[in-house]
Amino acid sequence: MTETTTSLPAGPVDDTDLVSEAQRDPSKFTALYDRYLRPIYRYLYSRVGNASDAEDLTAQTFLSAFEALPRYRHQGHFSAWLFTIARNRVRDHYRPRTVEMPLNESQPNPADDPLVQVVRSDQLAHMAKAIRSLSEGEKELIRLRFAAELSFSEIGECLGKREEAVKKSFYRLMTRLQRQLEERHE
Amino acid sequence: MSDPASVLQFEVLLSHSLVIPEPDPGFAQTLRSRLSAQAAVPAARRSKARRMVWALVLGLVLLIALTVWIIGPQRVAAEVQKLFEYIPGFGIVEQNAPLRALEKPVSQTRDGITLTITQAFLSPEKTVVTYTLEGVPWSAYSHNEAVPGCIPGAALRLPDGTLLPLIGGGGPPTQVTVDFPPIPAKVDSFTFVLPCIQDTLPGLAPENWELPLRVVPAAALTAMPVFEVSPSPQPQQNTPLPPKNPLVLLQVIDTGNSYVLLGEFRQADASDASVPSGSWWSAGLEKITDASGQAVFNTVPYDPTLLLPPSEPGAEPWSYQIGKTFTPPLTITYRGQDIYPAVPNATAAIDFDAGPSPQPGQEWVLNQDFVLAGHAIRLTSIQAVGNTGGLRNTGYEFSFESSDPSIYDLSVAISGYTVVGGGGGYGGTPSGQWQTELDYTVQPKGKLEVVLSGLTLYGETRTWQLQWSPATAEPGSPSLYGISMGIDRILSTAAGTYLLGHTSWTDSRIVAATTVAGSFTATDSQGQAVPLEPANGQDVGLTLGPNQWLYRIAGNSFAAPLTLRATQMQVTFKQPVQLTLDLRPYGFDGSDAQLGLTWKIGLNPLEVPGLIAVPHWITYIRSGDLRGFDILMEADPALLALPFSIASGTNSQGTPVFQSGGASTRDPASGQLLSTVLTKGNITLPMVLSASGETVSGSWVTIWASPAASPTASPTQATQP
Repeated sequence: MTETTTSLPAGPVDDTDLVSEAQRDPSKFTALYDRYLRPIYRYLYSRVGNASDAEDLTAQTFLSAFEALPRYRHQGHFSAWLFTIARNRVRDHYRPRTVEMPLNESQPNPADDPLVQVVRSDQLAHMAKAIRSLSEGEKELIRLRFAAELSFSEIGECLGKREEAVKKSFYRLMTRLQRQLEERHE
Repeated sequence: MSDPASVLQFEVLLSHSLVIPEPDPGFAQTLRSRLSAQAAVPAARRSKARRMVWALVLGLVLLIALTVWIIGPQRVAAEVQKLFEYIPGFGIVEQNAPLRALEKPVSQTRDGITLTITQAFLSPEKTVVTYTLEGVPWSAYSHNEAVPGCIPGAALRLPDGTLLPLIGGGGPPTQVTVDFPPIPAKVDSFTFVLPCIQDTLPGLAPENWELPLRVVPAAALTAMPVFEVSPSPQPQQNTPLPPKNPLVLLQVIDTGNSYVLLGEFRQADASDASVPSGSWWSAGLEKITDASGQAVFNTVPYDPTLLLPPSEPGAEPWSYQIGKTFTPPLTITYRGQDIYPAVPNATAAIDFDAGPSPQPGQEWVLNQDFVLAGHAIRLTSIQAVGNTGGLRNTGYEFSFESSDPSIYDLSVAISGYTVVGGGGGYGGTPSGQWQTELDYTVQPKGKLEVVLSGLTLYGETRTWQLQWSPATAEPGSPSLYGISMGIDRILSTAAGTYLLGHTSWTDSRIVAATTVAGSFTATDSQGQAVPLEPANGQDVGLTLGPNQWLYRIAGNSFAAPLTLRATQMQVTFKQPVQLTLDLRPYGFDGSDAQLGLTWKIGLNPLEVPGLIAVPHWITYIRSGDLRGFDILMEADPALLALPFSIASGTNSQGTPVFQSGGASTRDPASGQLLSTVLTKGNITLPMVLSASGETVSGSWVTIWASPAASPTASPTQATQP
């Protein structure tokens, strides 16, 4: 008979409780894993654009978080902490290429920008072009909001900005993108 | 300035445009098991164990690579090339795969909320369960982002107590499709466990739902054929190899009403010797056209499983859904712009003093001009970014501007510091402004040298095309639904000439097709319009059949032959097209305060025979004492109207007679198809709408060679009663 090691949250269990439980009993970390696998994977896929690397980085993220959890202090959102690990893993992922490859190959190829690759709509070409024109910070905002589905508060903590500032930046960005697409249609 | 509502709509549009696959069930389960195993290992041993696991994974990868190398990739490809089929709600599977399905839907109602498991599919790879929730009060949901509602973490419990956790899925609150790991073949009964309802607050909705499910072999699944598209034959030996087409069609799904085309754009095959070294292409769909050059309406399938994984690095998958009313062959056109590195790879350096303690948000306005490979650029400002968090990096954001439209991007570095992250914005934008951010583990400070290099430029524009015809396509230009017209009788009277004709069709999905008066015209041999008008059969003592038409030409002074053309047809479906509206999970209460509010609804195409119609937005409206909804749809241009009536979802509340009805037209503002339903009765959701027919555009022609022009070919003269 298979033993179950998971206790399902019987309602809207707060992250803080899950983290505390996992810090006391490492086997409870799977509850955090169940909660964050999808957003972490989707975020990483939007960064690297292929399932293989996204899986690799997802595994690294959760293994790192598992290792570091005893040192985690309850300050702000657990999700922000987890996503910071994920973002650092992405940076590590790209770092060796920056060092080892010639300059013209080390730059990320914007055509391969995974965020652009996952944009699919009837306005694909225009939307993709508009997103391609965004700064990295703006793209990250879109990834965290749409791929990871984080709240403005969580994004703010992730990016080291106030929630209100993130919200303003986000809606300014939406307005600008919308206007760009409308101008193309006119 | 965009209004908040339209920005919200755009936000929804953008979020739906991002289609990111869910984690693979096998991967999710494996990683979960690894984490569980890690938990059982003393902390000091974990690092070593992790290295061993990775070594095993690496060994497995090497073994696979060796196998491929030994037996050859082509043989491997041939081995894995099998026939597939598409099952809506599940995805593309191998034909004859041992699938199981839910024996029957299972429901449970608690406190007025009904949870129904409507569908479940089981394969050796995954388990997919679809459930609906009805009756959840709006007040039970969290409406404050800072107070998140429940994240349910659905699971399946097997008879031995094993819990299979959720590994993916999602959907609107009313209908959720969730993925789980595969269930062993010997297990045919298990329990669906839902700890709480998504986004609801504690205590406001029933919790800990458990529904027993039973599955049986899936004998009669709705499976749609998936056709593998064969590559073009390879040229004979000693023949120069033609350039590969980077635009590749790989699979076609026949959904009955439409085709779904799945393929990819391969960067590696797009460049040749004529473009600069290091080029890549910024490419996307330009158009899909039929044999006559007419644009073929297309949409992106809603189901995220309808996107193949990239077959090689740099391959960009695509999928488009089209109706079946085009004239083959179909031509897909992609347009791309070359992006290439400037030559020489010039470098410019700018000195910048960040001071001893740069603070996040601190900005230095520089406005320094420089020239790279002949292109003028200005570094307008530098801003410090970052925060004090221990795990996070700090750095600088560089703002540039240029009036040179050929600039795509350039790279930025600070001498002596190794960047750990960040990235660039791109030039060539309408504003000519862009930003690049560089992140470091430790913030560079003091006097810094900013090095600018790696300029990339916009190059030539190219288009690529591929053609495809359905295997069953017939030559020539097929008429929509196989509709054609013919003339039955000509009646000459003192009041003019009466033309009695009929329409016929070959498509069994429709039961009637009639001409639309305003779109029926006649022209003579000189191309002159001949005035005509619809007439009643009673005028000439005839009773018209269900698909007959009668028009009257005033007088006989026209040059034969006469060309009769219909550009619109009213079509009646064999099976009505249905649309279910349920806005309850979105807080719809029917109050006046909500009049004018617009909701985003599902993106699944309606079952309109042969044509694509995808509902996007629904607006609550009032017209006089009637209330109802405007439904905006993205639809095939040939679909001019799809009027709905209310099949259920309105009641008279004691009023014995009440009115309801619908209308449909093309919205002049957006060009989208607009259908409106209104009722005098009270609205109760879900509301089921039904369309028994549609109006479509096309060109249907029949020619009458009048007696004067060709006596032997004249139609028979009607016998006067």
